[in-house]
Amino acid sequence: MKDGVDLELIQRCKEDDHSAFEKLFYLCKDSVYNIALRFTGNRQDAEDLTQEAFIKIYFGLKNFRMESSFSTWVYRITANLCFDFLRRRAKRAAVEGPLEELREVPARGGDPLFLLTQKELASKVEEAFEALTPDERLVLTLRVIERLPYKDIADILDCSIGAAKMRVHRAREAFRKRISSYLKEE
Amino acid sequence: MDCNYYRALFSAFVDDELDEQEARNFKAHILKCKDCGERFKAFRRAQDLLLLLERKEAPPQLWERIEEGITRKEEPAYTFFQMLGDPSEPLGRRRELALIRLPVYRTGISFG
Repeated sequence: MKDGVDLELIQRCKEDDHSAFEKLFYLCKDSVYNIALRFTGNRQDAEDLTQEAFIKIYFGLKNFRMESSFSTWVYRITANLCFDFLRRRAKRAAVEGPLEELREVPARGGDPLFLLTQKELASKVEEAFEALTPDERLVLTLRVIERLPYKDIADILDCSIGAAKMRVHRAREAFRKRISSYLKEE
Repeated sequence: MDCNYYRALFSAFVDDELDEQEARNFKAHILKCKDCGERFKAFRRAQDLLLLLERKEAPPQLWERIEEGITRKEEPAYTFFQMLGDPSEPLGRRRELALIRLPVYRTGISFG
């Protein structure tokens, strides 16, 4: 989250100052959006979740205790909304049948073994990342993209620091297997 | 300590979470054990690749949707005159309805 989210700004938001909340939005939007986008893998869903998160943040600010970490609180709201989204989607799929946009794991082989350009490599990395489970994508987003310490990740996921480290480790291993497969290293 | 023990420490080493002695032991094992060395190299390479993931920017126009969502929830479900009810209705009935609608008017939250 960007610098500038200070107690004074939060206090003004708690007093229903819309312009203060707009400033808060611009300071936090990318953090919230990245969690949602990396979790859902879909821009439209990420935008909807981001909107939902900020509305929840706005009305939740009244009960927010200033001594807690604001950024952790925001991340936690976002993560919980992501998991709710997943549950809703799973329920819908159970009723309506498999979603058309189910991710397919690309078949191995086909790409010749030549040096990939940076752009191609980045594209492979994105593909491999999107093929991970939602939980794996979430923990890697928190650790690698948002660069949060394990203590914050544990608070957000409501687990112990040891459990948070284990989840990150497993997600990294899962990513290693995927990217190795995509780059034909295995 | 066997190989499984050191492989479980890959992440901790990359995150600089091992203390000095643990880090020394880890490095010694990785240099000595060819299999673990290869696996750690692959693990390290994959973590470097993860850094290629871009941090995306949220579209700024999301603010309009959020502001609309907040404003919609803040507006009362009834206007002041709606709360007072239809003048043609009996006063007792209007008083009843006003009492029911007053919390909704004031807070925008409906329990009905």
